[in-house]
Amino acid sequence: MRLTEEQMVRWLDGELSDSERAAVEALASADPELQAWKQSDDELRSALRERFSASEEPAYPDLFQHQLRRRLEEEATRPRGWKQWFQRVHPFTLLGLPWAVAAASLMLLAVFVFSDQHREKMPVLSSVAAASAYSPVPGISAEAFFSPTANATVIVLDGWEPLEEEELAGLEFLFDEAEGGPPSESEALDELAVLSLPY
Amino acid sequence: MSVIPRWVLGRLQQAAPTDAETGGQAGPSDNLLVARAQAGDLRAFDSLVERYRGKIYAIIVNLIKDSAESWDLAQDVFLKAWKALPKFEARSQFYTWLYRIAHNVVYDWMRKRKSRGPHVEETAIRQDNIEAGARTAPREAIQPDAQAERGELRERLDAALAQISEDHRTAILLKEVQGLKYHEIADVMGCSIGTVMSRLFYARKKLQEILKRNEE
Repeated sequence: MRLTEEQMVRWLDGELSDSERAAVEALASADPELQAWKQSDDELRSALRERFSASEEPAYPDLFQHQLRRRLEEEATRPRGWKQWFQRVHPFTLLGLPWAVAAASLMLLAVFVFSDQHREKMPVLSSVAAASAYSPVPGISAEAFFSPTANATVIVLDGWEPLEEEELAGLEFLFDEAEGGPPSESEALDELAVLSLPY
Repeated sequence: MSVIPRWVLGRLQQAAPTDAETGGQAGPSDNLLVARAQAGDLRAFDSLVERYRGKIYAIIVNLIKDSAESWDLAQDVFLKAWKALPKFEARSQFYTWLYRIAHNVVYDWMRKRKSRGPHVEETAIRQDNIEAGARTAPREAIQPDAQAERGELRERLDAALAQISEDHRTAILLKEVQGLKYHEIADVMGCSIGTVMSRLFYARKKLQEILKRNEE
């Protein structure tokens, strides 16, 4: 008797019926190579289960959830095109209707004519749009965006307690020329901390 | 207008959900949350994400060994799941459907990495040339003793897994780490049970050979 791949796998996993297992184990008792295979397979499976986690939270799980929620909300508010509408309608429903062919033809024509116009109306994310507004600290709002001027991702934290001067050492402050140049030290400390991070 | 199939509504009226239907956690069943999410309830989908993000992140990070990329890919999995939710018909468990999306997302990611050249593949996937004691992925700080204790065998396993094919690696991790049944693995990987058996057989055979060779 020669074991198939499936029999081997089921035997190693303890998934054979009683009669099948008895037959395979009778075979294994006379085959040291098969016994050695079983032993090292048991060790391998045990090591895999011990060393790898079936569940592992991503870093900052609340940020993960927040970021995803934001993307889902963007997705939900995005105008639906004809493709999305068509996917929501079950094809058999359409096929059962007598006007299906005529409607499909008209739809194709309409899609052909209006698709370019429709595409122009779809929202396009600006390269300077806010990337995230998540803050783990209550009372502090955060907004991050890419600033082409600074060539950096800027994180704006609003509501932060005034920082001491020594806490600001090494941080680079950005300012808007249109608003009259750099803020005074007190303005910077009291109102808004704008940190520049490498992009 | 939301469309909830009649047989899904029928399932909602069944008795208390089992562990398999709730991912082993307390709360409403997956089917109930899925039906609500299909009706546009984002909070219900949030609950599903919270329930399964750990498992989805774990299978991805175990496959690609890059925690930052895994974070992004896990996000993509749930975003794709949300988009495809109207088509989900609960012929399989929700979590196996999620694993299937994760499998496809990882497969696409690996294909793109490969098309960018072998250098990227080497750094992202192959772990067989890592130095002893080196961390395999940027993680939160682990105590040195615990790291040393866990590290050596884990690294040998990582190195061995990196040398087998993607299909073999996925099959063995889904079986031994995620604890999926043969038919669930077939569903996730989009293949027959016979193919799953073959992949499991060769994955184990090759892993044993590699580990034995590395010990010598």
